[in-house]
Amino acid sequence: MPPTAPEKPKDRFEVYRFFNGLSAEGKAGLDEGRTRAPLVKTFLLEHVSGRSKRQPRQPADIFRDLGNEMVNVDDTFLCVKAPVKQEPNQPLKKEVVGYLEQYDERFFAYYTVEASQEARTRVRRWISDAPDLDSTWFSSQLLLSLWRKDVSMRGNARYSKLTFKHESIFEMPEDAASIHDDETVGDDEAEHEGNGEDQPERERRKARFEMGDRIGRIRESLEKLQANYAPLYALYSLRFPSRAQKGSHDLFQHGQITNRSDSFEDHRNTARYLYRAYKSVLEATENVAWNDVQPPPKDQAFGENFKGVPLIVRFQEELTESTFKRWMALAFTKRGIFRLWGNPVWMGTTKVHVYGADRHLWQPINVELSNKGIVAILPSGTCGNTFHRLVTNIGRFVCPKFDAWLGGKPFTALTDAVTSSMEDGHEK
Amino acid sequence: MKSEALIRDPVFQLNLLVWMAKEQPAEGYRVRPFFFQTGFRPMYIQQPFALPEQAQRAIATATLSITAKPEPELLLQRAADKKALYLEAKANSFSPDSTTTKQARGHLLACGPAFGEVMQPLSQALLCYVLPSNKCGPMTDCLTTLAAELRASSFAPGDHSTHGLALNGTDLIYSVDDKFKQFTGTTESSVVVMRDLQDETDPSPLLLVYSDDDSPDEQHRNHYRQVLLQKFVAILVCDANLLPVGQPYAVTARELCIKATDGVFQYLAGDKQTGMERFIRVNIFGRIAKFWKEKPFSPVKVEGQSLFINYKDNLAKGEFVARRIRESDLGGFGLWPGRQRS
Repeated sequence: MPPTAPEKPKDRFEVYRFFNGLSAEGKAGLDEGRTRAPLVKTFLLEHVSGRSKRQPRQPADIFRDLGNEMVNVDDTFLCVKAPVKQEPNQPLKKEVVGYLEQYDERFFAYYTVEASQEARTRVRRWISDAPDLDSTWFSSQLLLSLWRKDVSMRGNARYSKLTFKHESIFEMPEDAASIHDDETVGDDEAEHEGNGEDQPERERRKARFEMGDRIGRIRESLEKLQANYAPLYALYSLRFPSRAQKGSHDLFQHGQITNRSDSFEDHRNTARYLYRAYKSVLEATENVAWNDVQPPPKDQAFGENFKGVPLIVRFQEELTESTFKRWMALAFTKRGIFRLWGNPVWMGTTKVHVYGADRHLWQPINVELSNKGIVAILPSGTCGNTFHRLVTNIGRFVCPKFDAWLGGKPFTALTDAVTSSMEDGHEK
Repeated sequence: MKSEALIRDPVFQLNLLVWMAKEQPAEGYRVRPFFFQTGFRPMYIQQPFALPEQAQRAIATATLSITAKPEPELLLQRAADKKALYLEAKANSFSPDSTTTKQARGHLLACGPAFGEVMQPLSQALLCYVLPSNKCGPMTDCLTTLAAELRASSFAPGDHSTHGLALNGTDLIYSVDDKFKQFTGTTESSVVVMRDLQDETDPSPLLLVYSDDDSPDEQHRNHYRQVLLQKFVAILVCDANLLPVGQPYAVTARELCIKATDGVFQYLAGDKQTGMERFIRVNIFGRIAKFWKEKPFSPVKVEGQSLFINYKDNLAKGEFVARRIRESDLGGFGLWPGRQRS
């Protein structure tokens, strides 16, 4: 049972102190090779932006609509009480499961000490039930950029850990792929339980690597290893050694950050740093990608009024026709990872056009999918998270190594520029 | 659709030209952004060109047949030297005796001194006819003849250029003439704009803009209507899913058109706008209304130009978004009246 979180904290710092106690205890447990207390986790969540065509809502309203009880601790910090299972045959009871901080109109952080699996399931359910709530999507390209521009420079002697995960779920027969093609694929804990040895295993590409080592050694080897094995581009989680404290913080593709330091404040600083990085990437994406037509200026006919650039993804390895067809058969299903809605227009055996919608955010998207790559157009005012979810899931489930561009610029240049400016201290 | 047929298809041609003006990577491009690389950016799509008053009066009294409302497919501008490309796509060349010369004379006049007067601070435009490569020679001859006729009648036509589309193996080649190279400063006579074309795969990129439905055959027309219908339905499905219970929603066919085309609709000619609006009213609003007419507690109704949705509870919403609205994107597409390309 997790320790009881303060139910009626008199201010947010009481919560910070509670988390700090757990952080120190948790860190001590980690140092001894065991977890004495549950680790504090942050989930960075994305809501709609006022600059889009959607109306932002207050976090209390969003989470109340999801069946939670929200108690304001201060203007931007809330206590989340959610229905929790009790003893068998007992009704659900609302208990404090975590705290929500509103970073700005668009981004929230959910702090919790629930076990990772329960916390992920809870957050996933919230996101699934709220079309204006989404994860933040740290694609492998963004994580690699954070590795190159930030983590790899934090000192050769510090320890980091890079986890790579790629699972070509569409290489399987369709019935098997459909079982896996939902958002519960490959949760760490399930894989760590080690009870898969006796289970049947389909023959398909499935790669999971962990590189836990001193930063200098990882930096020396990584590129050489990547050159020989493409799944080593599919970075799934990245460990940030703490700058100020002992320990570290693990960032996962779906925006979860796990505190392995002995300070909650240090953890929160890392969460805010990553929120700013993601926000910058997202806004930069939307600034260039929105397909927009402005009315001609009244005083002159001169002007560029047809804007917006495409997202172009080129796979380094072409998909086979059967893999592509399985992908298409599943990409538009209700629980499919890609969360796309639409009727694919088949332009050939390995190419479709979809003038459809992002099933999660319910916003239109036009996308060309082929065995060679993807081209996507984002209608004006729609959320750039659709792009980032697409790119994240491509790397994890379709093709581990790919090139991506927004307009004429490589996606990596966009993410590198943002992480560089963050490192220079020019946070926006 | 076969690539050979596509290079004569006006919707494909127009979209290809727009893609060629969209910023894309130098290597991984979907369509080589040839115009973007030469510094030209999209300005207007199918926007009628307003000839100056004086030219309009001269046209009204001229013995030559000249349209007073020329409408290029695409207008691109280059701010650095105030130059513009005035692009017109055609499936075929035509002769100086064709009725199409009326439109061509209007284009030639728009690209003369009239262009600088109307489009200030842009100073000059080059008229570019885009058509299958084997038609470029006759097209150049025809434009030269028409320009001479205009000059003889004391009009001031502008310069013209012809651009060819051709297949070479698995490549789609876009070729330009010396006039274009001189005007833009580019040195390339022909460029590969699309690669790896396959016989059994339609090479079209995503449709960015919709021309009138003047495609060469019914198969093409149905494809474009299907795309358009899907775009409209996708927007309705999104709105219907996001609409809270008890909050009324209303949308007109016009509003839906603007949303689905990212605003391009506002720049289409009046008859095209009317045709698209009718298409929505008949094929989407009409079908939804018909389906729900007999049902008790319908969350949807159509009145005048608008579709209204209002869910009384979550059950009604679930019923509507889960099944009913999607039925409108299945089956035949009806007629979307439009102008035939000459």
